Amino acid sequence: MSLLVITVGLFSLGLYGVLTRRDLVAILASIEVMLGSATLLLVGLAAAGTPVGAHEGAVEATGVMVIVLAAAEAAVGLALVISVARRFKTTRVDELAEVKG
Amino acid sequence: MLVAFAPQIVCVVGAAAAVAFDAFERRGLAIAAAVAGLVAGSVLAFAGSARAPELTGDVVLSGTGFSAIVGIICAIGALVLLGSWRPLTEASSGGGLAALATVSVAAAASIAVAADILVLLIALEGLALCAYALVWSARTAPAIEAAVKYFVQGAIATGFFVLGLAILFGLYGGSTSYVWIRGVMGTETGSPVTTAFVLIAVALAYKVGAFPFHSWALDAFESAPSHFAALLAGIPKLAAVVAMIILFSRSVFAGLDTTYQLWVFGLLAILSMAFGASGGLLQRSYTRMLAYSGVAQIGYALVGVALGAPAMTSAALLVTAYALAAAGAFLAAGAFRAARPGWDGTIAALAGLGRERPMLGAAVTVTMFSLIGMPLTAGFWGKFMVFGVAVSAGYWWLALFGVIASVVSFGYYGAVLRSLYFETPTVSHEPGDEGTTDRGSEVAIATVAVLIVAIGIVPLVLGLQSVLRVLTFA
Repeated sequence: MSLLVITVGLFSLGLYGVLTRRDLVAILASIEVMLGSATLLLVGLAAAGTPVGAHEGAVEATGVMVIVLAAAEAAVGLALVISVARRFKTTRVDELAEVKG
Repeated sequence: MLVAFAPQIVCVVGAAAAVAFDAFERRGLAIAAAVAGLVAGSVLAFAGSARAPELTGDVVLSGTGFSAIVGIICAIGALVLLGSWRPLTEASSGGGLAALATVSVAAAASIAVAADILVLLIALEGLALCAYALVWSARTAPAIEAAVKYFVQGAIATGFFVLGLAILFGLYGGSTSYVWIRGVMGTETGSPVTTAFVLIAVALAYKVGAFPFHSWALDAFESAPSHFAALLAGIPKLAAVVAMIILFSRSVFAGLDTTYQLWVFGLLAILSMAFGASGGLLQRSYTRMLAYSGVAQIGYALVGVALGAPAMTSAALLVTAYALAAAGAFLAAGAFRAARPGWDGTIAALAGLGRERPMLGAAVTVTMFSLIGMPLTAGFWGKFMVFGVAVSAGYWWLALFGVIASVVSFGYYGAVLRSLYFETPTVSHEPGDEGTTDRGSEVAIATVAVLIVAIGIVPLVLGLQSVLRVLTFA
């Protein structure tokens, strides 16, 4: 139960960060917190033991896949942030106003 | 398992070859390798569609309609890449971009037929990561900004999806395979199930750009290079709609009360149609209008998702027709720019182009007719079937909204045709500013137009069953 509370809490914290922070690097960090919370849930489940009928290590494998995805996303995201910083000389989203919302 | 996954693997091999050729600055060879991979994948997939469906696969579903969808996605991808031959050979590292595009098509093909939530997640993410880069590749300030916006919103969607996956995994632990979760879940409808349902539904709605999760799509498709917008506007929607119906009506959430699903997706459908159609009317830019109309089009497709399993074939036909027409319409933007180098992107500035370039004009006309849903085009049968299922299931109001949105869509698609044929250019061309012909994209658009008319006419000659037999999912 406490595992679920921590997961949902962390996820909400990340979502709140994505929606309110104005700096791209902070947004990226918040996204990582969101993905991290899901990983935490998987790790917690794995610690509770392999579920009945499951393959040995299935939970851990899923967790590792999520971590790999998060890393790939961070790589692309940081590349985008660097390109924004070079082009616009800022990484704050409210200062980028070339495209109409 | 590997046999079922072979088309996607072949595509990725083509992409790897393209990267290798690009490293030696052989862009033509690189693009050819990417196209060859997609064509081979398409042929393999269509060959597999003769097999009986394999619904218990651990990685992807295959056989009949599932293989056919993979084949269609790869074929449209190959067509778009051929149509973008000129811009790709001119771009620096064009071969690498062709490889990225090929990987994104392979990922979309895996989304459509995934049989495991983890595979679906990896495929969604593979497509998204390629798509951010493809949007960015225009390297203009608006494109970079659109790519960042796309990235942030896509990453939120991924976060939702991963949490939904973790919850399902936690509840029905052991495997993320659709069949497994379905088996363990039974007819249970507790709040964790609905939480997972909402998280995954929202994530997929983001990915297809349904209202209110659409704002990335407008900027991304307007400022991306038009040949990549052609790839990203249709194919991912085709893939995600098929995946949604499999996920929500055929496997994981099939035990949930269907009214629940009807309301969630029906509401998204109506909002998307209303927003897309009214927004489209206000646009002056050709590609931005297409981006808005894409939101309306995903609204029609979500009517099919709301109706669930009975509408699966119809919805697949509708999104196939849209993916074809969207590819043609966005490629046309590139051809327009080649024909009129000073084109500012507005619909008004296309005045008289249809009479100057009869072949391009005719192909764009067919594409627009299909997007409207005029009879004798592929778009007609898609809408006809989906709205037909809605009416026969007793949800005539969903069909009514769809028909109203289609009538409104005549306003913005028709504006393009009016500009192409019935208006005279206001700016006279200076000599030497004559523009060129982008042969590759014009041939690709013409092929799209021929396919649209073929899918539109074949049912009249051979009966609708002839088309539906390709897209059976049983």
